Amino acid sequence: MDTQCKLKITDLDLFYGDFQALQNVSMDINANEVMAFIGPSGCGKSTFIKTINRMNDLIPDVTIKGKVLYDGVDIYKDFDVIELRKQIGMVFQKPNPFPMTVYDNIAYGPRIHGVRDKKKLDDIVEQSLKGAALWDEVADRLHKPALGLSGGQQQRLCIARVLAVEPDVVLMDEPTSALDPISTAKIEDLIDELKKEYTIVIVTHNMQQAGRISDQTAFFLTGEVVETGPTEKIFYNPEDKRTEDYISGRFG
Amino acid sequence: MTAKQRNTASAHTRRVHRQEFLAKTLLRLAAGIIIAILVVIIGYILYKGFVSDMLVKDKVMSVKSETVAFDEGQELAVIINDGLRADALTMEDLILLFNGRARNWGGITEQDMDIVTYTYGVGNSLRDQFDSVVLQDGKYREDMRVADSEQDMIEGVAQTKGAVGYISADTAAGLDYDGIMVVPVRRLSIILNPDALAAQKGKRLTQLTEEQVRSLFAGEVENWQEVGGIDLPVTTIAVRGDTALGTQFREAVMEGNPVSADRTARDQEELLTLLNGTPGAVTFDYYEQVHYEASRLAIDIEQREVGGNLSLHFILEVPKEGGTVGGISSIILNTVFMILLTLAIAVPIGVLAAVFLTEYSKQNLLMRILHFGTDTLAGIPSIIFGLFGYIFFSEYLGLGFSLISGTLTITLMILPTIVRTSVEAIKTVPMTYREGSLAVGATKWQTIRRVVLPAAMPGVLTGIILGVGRAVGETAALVYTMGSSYELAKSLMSSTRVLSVHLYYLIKEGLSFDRAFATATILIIIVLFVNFATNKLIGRMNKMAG
Repeated sequence: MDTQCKLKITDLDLFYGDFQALQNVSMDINANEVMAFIGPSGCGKSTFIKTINRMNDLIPDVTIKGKVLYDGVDIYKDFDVIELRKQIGMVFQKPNPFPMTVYDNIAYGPRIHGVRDKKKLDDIVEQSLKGAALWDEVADRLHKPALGLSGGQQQRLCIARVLAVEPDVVLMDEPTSALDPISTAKIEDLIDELKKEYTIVIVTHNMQQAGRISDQTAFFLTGEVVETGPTEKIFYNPEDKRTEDYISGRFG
Repeated sequence: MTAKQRNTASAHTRRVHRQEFLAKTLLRLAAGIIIAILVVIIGYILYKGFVSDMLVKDKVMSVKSETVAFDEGQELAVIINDGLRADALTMEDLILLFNGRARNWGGITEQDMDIVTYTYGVGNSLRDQFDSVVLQDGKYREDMRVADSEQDMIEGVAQTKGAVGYISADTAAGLDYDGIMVVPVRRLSIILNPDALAAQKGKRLTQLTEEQVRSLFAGEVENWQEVGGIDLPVTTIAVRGDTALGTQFREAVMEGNPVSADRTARDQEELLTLLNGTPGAVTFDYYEQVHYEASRLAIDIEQREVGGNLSLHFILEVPKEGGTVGGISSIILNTVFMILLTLAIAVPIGVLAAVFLTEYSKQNLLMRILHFGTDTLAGIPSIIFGLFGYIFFSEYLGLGFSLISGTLTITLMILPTIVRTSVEAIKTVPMTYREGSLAVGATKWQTIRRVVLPAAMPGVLTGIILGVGRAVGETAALVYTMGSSYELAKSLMSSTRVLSVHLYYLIKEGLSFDRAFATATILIIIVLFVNFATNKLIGRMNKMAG
């Protein structure tokens, strides 16, 4: 299988007002792979992942320079932001299901994009929940409040919600940091499955998690990318000393 | 220190315990005061709303008898159509009904119905009996209906709304006919010699309570001064116990206790002679005797009337005659119209303005101006809105005293509240919901409409209840803009009256506090219902939110 470049970021700078949060970030993210962003707190990982689906547009006073190409198209110039977010979905750190039924949560995406046919929606809901490995657990409580689910289930619901709009790329911003170990393991297994169909970008605080599930890793430090490369190389044979220090736990 | 030693309270610990106790007592006291206020106010109004307990003054005593008794001849019973609500009729009522002076039952039963009287043909023995008592001066109504027989009379009264007639007591005893009620008659009056009613040194006897009447005839009162009259000895006169009058008085008023009579008369004629000849004399007689002979001598009897007040028919019937007769159904409906119309205007504008303020306006200055504005408006006394509404809507826009004038005024009043609470409710919706929505490709408006607003609904609804509460209770502003007609509003331009305004007029006129309390009770029930329903709704929404 050729590795196809899904997202190409070149020389990205990001400013909150006068403060520069990201400096000269460049990388290639390949299709059907899991790319992990690691690095200490506050180093820009979350800020950067949000530039990929333009969620930073919501924050006032943000300036972005540089290029983000998705399948070769500049997302800040030539791409409709609604379409973009449909194709590049996002799962957040804290599970955020809507205060609605499980069914309505999953059907939300398709409905806002115009799907009305009940049968079609039923199908989509089932497929998405299966894709998120949640179907067996909620099939008999589809019309009960989503907020009644456990934390791990809620997060898988959020993943299913994103899958329901049939994206290409799924961005995950520390998806398991609020969950218990068992739910975390379930979701890590899920990510392994998902990458067969989607491209996954995951921000994680947990180095071991990155080591377990990702194909490529990028190491961030104070707004810059220190090093990117295949996960094995980053972990066992990094080129930069700072990377090595972080991996071996000399600072966190 | 051992544990035992450590356990003994030091002075500081004791002081702290005391403070704790005092604090708890104060808190309980405050809570108790609140509950007491609640119970007293609402309890009192609801009690007065459902139970009517009034002192009334009448020329006849409250005692009633199922038959109209005579010394000779057949006893009669008065029958009315059962659509009429009366537990008794006074002899005064009967006279007015049959001589045509009363045209509508409104004055007697508060029902808006025409009076239809039935009698028998001339020469009928029952009729002679009846005329000797009720129509002594021979003045009959022109539109009296004549029945051929008792059966005819019974059928006629049963079928005609507002009908009244009479049959023999014997027939009445075994009567079981649909549509008819035998109504008891109150016939006893108390009459005094004119001297006892004279004024002396600014004092004058104008009424007696039924208790005082019993005392007088039990011989317990020596001088008129003791019951609020002038200085004059009391002389009681009673008719013999073997007359119909004497029997009724002894049984019904004195309840079998002996009557202490200083003089006894053989019959009613002698009774009146004795009365006129004895200064300070008091006796009892049938009202019709007094009415036709010497009515000015019958003294007002103050009686306590306890009965039901608020009832289903009060709610369902339409008001007539300035609101003194009938119910308040049209006023209730007018109130509902006003509330619905106000909400229809205020809620969309208020909620959409709140959405704009929180979601779309980036300028802090605009936000601050609008916040200051709504806070100020929310604090302005409602009478000022009344003034504005009157000048602007009624006069300048030429809408006059109308439903639309009043509604627009109330809308202005509750708009700030709705905007304020909606803004707070929307702000409380977590950012994470918005993020989750945008992250699947929703637009801002889609997010607001489908996620943010539904999540903010409980708060928005609370603001709406507050608005409705203010609207339902508003009186002053509506008096000057909405008008005062108690009829059902026919159009937006109709002059209308709502419950709060109706209550205002009832209190102002002071004619019927029973109706005032009944109206107040309905208002309270409406408010309780709206609160209850909305809280249930909010509860259900919160269940969705987990």
